[in-house]
Amino acid sequence: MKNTLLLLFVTLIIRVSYGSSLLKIEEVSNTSFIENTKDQIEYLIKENSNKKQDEKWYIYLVGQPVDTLKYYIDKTTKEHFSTSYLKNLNDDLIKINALNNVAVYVAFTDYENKILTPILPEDVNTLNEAEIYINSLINTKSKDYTPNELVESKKHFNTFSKEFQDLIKQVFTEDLISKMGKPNIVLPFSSYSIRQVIQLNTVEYIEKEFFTYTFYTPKLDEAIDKEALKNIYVTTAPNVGLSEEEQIISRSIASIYRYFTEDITDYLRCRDLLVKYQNEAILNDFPEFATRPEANPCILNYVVPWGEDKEKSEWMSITEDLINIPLYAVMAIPLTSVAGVATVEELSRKQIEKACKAAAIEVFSQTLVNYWFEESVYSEIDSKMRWEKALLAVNKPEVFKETLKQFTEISTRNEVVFACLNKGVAYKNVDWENLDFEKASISFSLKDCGNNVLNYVFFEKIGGDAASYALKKMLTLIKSNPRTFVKVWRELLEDIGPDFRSAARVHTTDILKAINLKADIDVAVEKYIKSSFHVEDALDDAIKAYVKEVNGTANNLFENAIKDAAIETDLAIYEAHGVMMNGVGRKILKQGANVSLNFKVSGREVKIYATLLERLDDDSYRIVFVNQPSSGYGTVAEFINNTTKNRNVVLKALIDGEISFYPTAKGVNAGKLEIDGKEIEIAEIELRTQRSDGAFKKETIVSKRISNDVDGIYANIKKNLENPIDEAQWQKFKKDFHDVDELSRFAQEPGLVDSWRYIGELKPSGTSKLTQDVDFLQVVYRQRGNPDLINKIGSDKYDDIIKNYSGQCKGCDAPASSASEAVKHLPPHDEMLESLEAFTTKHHGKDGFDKVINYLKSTDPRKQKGAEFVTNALKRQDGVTAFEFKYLGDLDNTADFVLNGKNIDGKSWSVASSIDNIGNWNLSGQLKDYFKSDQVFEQWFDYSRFQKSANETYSSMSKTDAVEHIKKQYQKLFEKERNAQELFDYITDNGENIDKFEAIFGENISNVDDFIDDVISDLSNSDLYGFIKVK
Amino acid sequence: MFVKKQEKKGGRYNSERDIIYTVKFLNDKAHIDFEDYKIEIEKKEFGIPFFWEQYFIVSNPNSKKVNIFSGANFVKNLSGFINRVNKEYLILSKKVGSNRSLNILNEDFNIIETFDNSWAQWFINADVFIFSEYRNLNTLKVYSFRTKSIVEITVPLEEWSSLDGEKNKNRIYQTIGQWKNELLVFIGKFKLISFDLETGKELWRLDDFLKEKSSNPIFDLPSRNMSGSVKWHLSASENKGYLLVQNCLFELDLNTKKSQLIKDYNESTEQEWYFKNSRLYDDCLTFSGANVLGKFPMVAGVIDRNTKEILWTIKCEPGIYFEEAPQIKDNKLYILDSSQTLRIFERELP
Repeated sequence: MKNTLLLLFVTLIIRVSYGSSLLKIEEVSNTSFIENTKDQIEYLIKENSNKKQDEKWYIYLVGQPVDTLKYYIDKTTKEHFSTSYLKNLNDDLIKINALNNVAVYVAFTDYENKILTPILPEDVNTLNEAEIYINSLINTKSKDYTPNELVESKKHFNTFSKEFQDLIKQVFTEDLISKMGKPNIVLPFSSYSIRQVIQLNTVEYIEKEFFTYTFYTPKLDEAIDKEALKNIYVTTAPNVGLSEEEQIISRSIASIYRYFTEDITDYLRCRDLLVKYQNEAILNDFPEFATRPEANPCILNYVVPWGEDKEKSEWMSITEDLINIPLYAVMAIPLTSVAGVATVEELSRKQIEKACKAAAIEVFSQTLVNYWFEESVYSEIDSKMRWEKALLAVNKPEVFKETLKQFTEISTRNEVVFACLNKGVAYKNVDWENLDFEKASISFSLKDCGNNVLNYVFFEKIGGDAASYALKKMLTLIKSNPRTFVKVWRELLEDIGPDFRSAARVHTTDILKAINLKADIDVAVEKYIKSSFHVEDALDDAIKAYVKEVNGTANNLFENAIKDAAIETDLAIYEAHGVMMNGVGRKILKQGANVSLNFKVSGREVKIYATLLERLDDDSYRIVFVNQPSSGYGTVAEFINNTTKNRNVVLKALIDGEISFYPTAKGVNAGKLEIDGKEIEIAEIELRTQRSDGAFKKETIVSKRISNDVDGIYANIKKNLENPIDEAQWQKFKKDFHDVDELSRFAQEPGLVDSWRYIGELKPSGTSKLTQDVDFLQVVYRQRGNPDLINKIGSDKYDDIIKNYSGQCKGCDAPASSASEAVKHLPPHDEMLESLEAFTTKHHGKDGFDKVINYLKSTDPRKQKGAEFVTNALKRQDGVTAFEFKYLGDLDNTADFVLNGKNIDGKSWSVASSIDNIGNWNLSGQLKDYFKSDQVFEQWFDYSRFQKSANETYSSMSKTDAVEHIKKQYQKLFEKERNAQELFDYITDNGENIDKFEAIFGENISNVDDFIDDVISDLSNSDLYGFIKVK
Repeated sequence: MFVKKQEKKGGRYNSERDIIYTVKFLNDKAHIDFEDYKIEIEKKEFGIPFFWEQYFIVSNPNSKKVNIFSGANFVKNLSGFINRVNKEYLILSKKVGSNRSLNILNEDFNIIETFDNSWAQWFINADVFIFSEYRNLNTLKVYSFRTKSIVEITVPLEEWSSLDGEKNKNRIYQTIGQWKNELLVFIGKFKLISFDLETGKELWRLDDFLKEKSSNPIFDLPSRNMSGSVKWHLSASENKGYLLVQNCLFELDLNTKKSQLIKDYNESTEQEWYFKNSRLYDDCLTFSGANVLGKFPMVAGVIDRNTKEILWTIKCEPGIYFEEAPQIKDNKLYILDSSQTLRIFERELP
């Protein structure tokens, strides 16, 4: 018996793998830590001695005062734990502490402690290894981190491993241990901390949350056999707990109980089997299999010689090599016809039962996964048919593989699924021997199964098994149809039920990590998925509550439309350059949902809920309402008339200028935006209506304005003018503007009158209606009030752009039919200027910027169109380094711009007169040079030229159709024999460098015939046409 | 480090023979001069020129005709074309009607093996020849010169969609080479897969060998350009692979199956570098590239493999770029530019 204070930390399960500091050494005095902890334990020992068996308590909180413990005992529903978790866990502890030979007290900490660490390699997964790794960095004088950072990191780890251990030692004095009165004392810890990970070569830190689990054993009869305990742990299911963290502690308790009550000699015998088979193929030739006996050597008990007389299939051969009963038993289910019934009968009936059970569990788990994540199944509307399709889509090889995995491990997942199979699932006509579902039917009742089955199938062990069937299916769906994935995800979270929903959300990060999004999908898709997850997490409850308040009941369609709107906003925030072009072009900083706003109407407070509330970069806010998809209210007016009474009152009062745009925000959701109780400024109120393609139509319901009295507005405007106006001009102004809505905008911002005068002077004739375009005047006013912007563009150039621009204003007459296509296709002035502003903000100072401006101010509409296209296409584009870029030294070989190293030409060509003539042109030297040099090159075609074309065939084309159309025109150019030969000869130096050609097109093309046959003719797959993009 | 010695218009350098030959076109003839020999052939029959054993072979993919010379003497011609050889065999591509075939020729130029309906050639060394059937580039066929047998490797090439619905399909970009008994293959999305040359089975893979840098958009290379920009150099004896891409040097440790960023050339110097083509030598790497993102490869240079520092560079005149990385032999450096001028440099004495 060892009575010494043995300090033994057994790392049981390592979720994040390495240890952390448990407390802020600097802030919590050692004395109070020790005293507090001792007080708690003494309190528990004393209290427990006077309590009935089922009222005892064995959980404490290290370092906290005893009052806190009392609080926890009284309120075991603290948000860190699921409902009744502590109570149920304590019930397990009561059971274990009833044993004579062991005392177990569980410690939780929830200090939000910060600990520094460099980025550790994946295989460094224990505290000791982390320390060794940091030491090695220090010793090798790593250039990736500063010496100070490394020393600091080491100090933090030492703090944990030395000081904390000392503290624990001081808590568990001989005196205290003797009070526990048991020969073995085991103390599991669960600690939560925040770790700051030092970035390579930067001073920035990433914050990550970490849970760690340790055992401290201050007193033991004899040393714990770590491997035996570990083995018990692997085969023990948690009794309580929803989250992984809760379950790990529960499993630990159950494992300790088993360790001290069960005979572990069986396990020790199993361990000898590892030695016996150490040089055999079973442990050496099948790495995937070898990890299983290493975790649980007892499965080697099932290894038996394989009979000589069995037929050999490929599967059989593998089985024979493994000579493993579990696998064999699993195989026996579908292979009775191959191996013979007699073979199956030779096996232990118990093993077969277990295997059948495992296989049935796997079949059903797969069916569940298919029901949600198999695209062809999900698209089935009829629920019964959907289940049957899900069953039919079961992947048999995966069943075999997964069955083997599940067979040797007890898990809550399996028990839950099996319970569901007994209660809520009925199969008919399944040919189990051959796993044939062709004639099968299935009925399923989630209610009878309990929605915890979804939680266990989809979320248990997410991080641990990246290759699981569910994750693979999720990734496949994300790749093929990300929007459907988001829909499915929502449906699943809905079906999983409120008890498990929050637990499922906790795993979002693990799921994204396990799916390994980045490796396989487009960056835009990755951002979209991440944004959708973020919105679901951050705003879900608020949106749900909102829909219930507005509708009186849940409405998934409406809820999803709001979430889709929120995802778009979140994407804009995420990409940090989301300029929402809906009248007020501003960056959105943050969004909230279902925020209560109190407006004052006629002296009383009227409360409305903002569906979404967006904080803009000037600290004003935009209220966003989302039209209910099934409402049929298409217009703003219809929305106002049919919305809630309070909204109707507030919106009308705002439109009529009767109330101010400064409501007071209230409540929890306002608190999340840090505006609870504060007066905020509303810049505008917007209505979003979701179209069938998922995108949103955005309309302004009202923006800040005043008063409804025309004469009053005129007077107001004139009174507030900064620059005096003569009577003739004033009369002209009054002639131009008499609509209340328009005038209220001038009243709101009298400086618009200056814009009106400025435009009138620049364009004294010919385009009189341009001066009456208030949207345009608004943009001009804002831009001219921004001296930095005007300086960047150049004041004279800004004037010239407005003077020469050939686009038509919104209220202007349509261009004459004789006007050029360029004129007809130019967007209105305000849109052009908005693009120019965003473009200038983003790209001023880069090489060639002025050349784009010069093109835009040209008097030639074709040049204007080209420059307008470039400004519009690039206004939010990161990675642009230069314009009018000379790619071959100082010679006049230019690309319109460079984007992330790609040289790109903007082609704002007319479809009918230019694109459709490509086939008649000569091969351009630029195109040939690019192909030959293997330089990245693209041509960006202007989609608006298709959209605005008078020819309906073109105007109805999608972007994808447009790309195909342009490809066909280039194909006409390339397939002309002389062109094909010229291009081939040029790229290959007359056939001398054939490898270069192959490298570019990847098709092992070796002569011009193959070039025509295999590359030019292959519009859909050939890399030849990859340079064609439509923007 | 190197000083310019000579420029040869139409010059070509052959490192195995260590000779320079020139190719000039006059009227309909191609004039090839090397050592003391002069060969004249029809311009339309000129194509891929190379030295093999005692022969000088000119193969033209368009006329599908191979002319074989010994010294200046015409030996024979063959129908088809040749652009891959090892020390013992030549691979002759033939197209008869719709049948494309690959044929192994022995030293007497006799066909000893034919693979019908086969066209794409990936790799050849002393042990194996790797090819694909016509229009079936997902499957690599590994022919063993020793056993005369073929093992098939099915390369997993996935498809994916971008958010706007554009479909993308992965493809093989480089059969990097043989290491021990493994074939290393680079497919798009920066994946490297190793296959067992005897069984064809996948052994291991790296899912994103540029992961330390691939979040940077300039590494987001479109597929057309991939092979030009990303080309691994295998050093089987060192159990290493090297990759010079954009502004970075990566090293692949074949023992640990890990790739690592060794040096980012834009981090520590004022001069930016964007590498394009490269070659691996025992003590150095040579490259062509640009100092400005987006420019054609108008600079070339030499990197010391020990220190990873750039030792020497040269720049093109405007309008001209370097098509390849420099070749080095003994004390000389050769580089061909886009005007088909071979520039020859000599190492400076210390």
